[in-house]
Amino acid sequence: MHFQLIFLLAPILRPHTYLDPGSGSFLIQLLIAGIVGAGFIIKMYWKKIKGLFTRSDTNKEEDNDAQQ
Amino acid sequence: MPSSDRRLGASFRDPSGFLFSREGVLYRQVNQIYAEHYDRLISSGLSARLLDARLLIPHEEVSVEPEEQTQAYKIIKPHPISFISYPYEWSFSQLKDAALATMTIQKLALESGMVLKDASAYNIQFYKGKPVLIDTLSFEIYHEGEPWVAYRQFCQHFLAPLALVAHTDVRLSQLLRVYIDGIPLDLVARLLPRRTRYGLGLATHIHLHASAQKRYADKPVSKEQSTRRMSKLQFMGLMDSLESTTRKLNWKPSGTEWGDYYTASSSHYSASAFEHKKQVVSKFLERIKPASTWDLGANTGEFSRLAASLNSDTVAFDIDPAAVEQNYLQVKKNKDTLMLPLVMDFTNPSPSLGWHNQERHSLLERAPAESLLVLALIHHLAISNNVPLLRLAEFLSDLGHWLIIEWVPKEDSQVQKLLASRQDIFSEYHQAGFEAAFEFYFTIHEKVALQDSPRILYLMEKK
Repeated sequence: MHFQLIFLLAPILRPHTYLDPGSGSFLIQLLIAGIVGAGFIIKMYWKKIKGLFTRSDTNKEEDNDAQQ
Repeated sequence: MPSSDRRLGASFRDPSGFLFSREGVLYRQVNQIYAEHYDRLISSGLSARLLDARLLIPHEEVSVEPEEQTQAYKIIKPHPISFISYPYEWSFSQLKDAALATMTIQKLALESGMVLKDASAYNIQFYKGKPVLIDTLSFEIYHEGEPWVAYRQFCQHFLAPLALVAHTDVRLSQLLRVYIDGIPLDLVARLLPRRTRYGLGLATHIHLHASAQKRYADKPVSKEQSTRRMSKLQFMGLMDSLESTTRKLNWKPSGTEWGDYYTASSSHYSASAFEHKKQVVSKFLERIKPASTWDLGANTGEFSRLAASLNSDTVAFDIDPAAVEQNYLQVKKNKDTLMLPLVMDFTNPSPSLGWHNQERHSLLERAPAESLLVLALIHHLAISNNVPLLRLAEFLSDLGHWLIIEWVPKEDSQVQKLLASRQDIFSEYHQAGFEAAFEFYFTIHEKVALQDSPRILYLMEKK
């Protein structure tokens, strides 16, 4: 088990990486990213297609920045 | 003094560097080990972009002697934050804005080929009214294929408490005070209502995530699983999902037990008494011109704003998360830069927490403020919480130098309400007893009886 865990986490075990990602959290995000990643690609393309038909970009999502 | 004594108590986990204080000035040492990443942060323009967006605390590189010479790469001096606050003291929208700021920072970092290597809520502070990242060493160079090392931390520090407040109960945000590295996801999954299992965001980032943590807690990971990689688009998809899940979480104070109380905050006063109170408080504040003010029991911040309008750095504390939420929304709307609303119960103020009890400071460790506003609060502490007036005076003398305090006598309708269901054991609770107790710690400079009200406003100075 130790060997496998070390193998798994090796790429991120750089000296300045101090957080323990947690093996469950580490693995499940691969699965979740697989699911939501596909949706994200569709969303990006949809935005591009929509962009072709609208004149200016209104960036509605940026209400965080709107606080100034 | 051993050098570790000058290092800040919360600054020990990350080998990239640490904070230290010298002659009252705060510095951050950047260690050699982190040099490549620090240089990339500056040379890629990411630092400049984050500063433009007011998402990162400004800093300057300085040539002072390093605290630990052998490891040192650079010393930077971050702009000071006037009051350090913690996630368990924030209202819902403050925590949500901190989460969204973290996600915006992550997106900008990715555009510059970097990524956040931690996502602690404690790395965010309110600076001039806005949430900013205070840990300049939170970035590392992004390598495509790698999952996000801080995914668990983001879920536990941000998504978990936000989901609990939005879907279960606002009081559960206080679990952040118990669990210093964020709320355990298995507990969150148990406390959330069943319906949260059916929306994609919480179903995956909380429920599925919690099951995976449990499943792999005592099981080996297969070699096949360990070699899987995440493309950049998938990585961005994961961030997009975390952000939209956060955005969808909402909490509205109306409809809670507090109801409309705060829309009529001045209802215990006649209009003339309320106006007079504002005039007297303003006059006192103008006389003392405090650089900093703490308003204890600030409600939605009506009187705190008088202090902030006089350029006083103001923290508006209230026990009620609904009042603090309303106050924060007002701060955002007004773009106030000197007001910080926070949740605080003065019968049990924030304690020292974490390793060596030094990671998170108690309220008293963050004192004193130059002036205190203690308006319509004394009866809640002295009668509801049975605090003798002498002890109350002592406590307030630890918190601030100047004191603007409202005496609320027993004949006041609000005190009568508190006494309606209990024995009146407060024989010392009268104006002469109040003055005698407070004169032990303070000098009374002025007192003004409020028009059309039995209450009296005092201006006092710590002896």
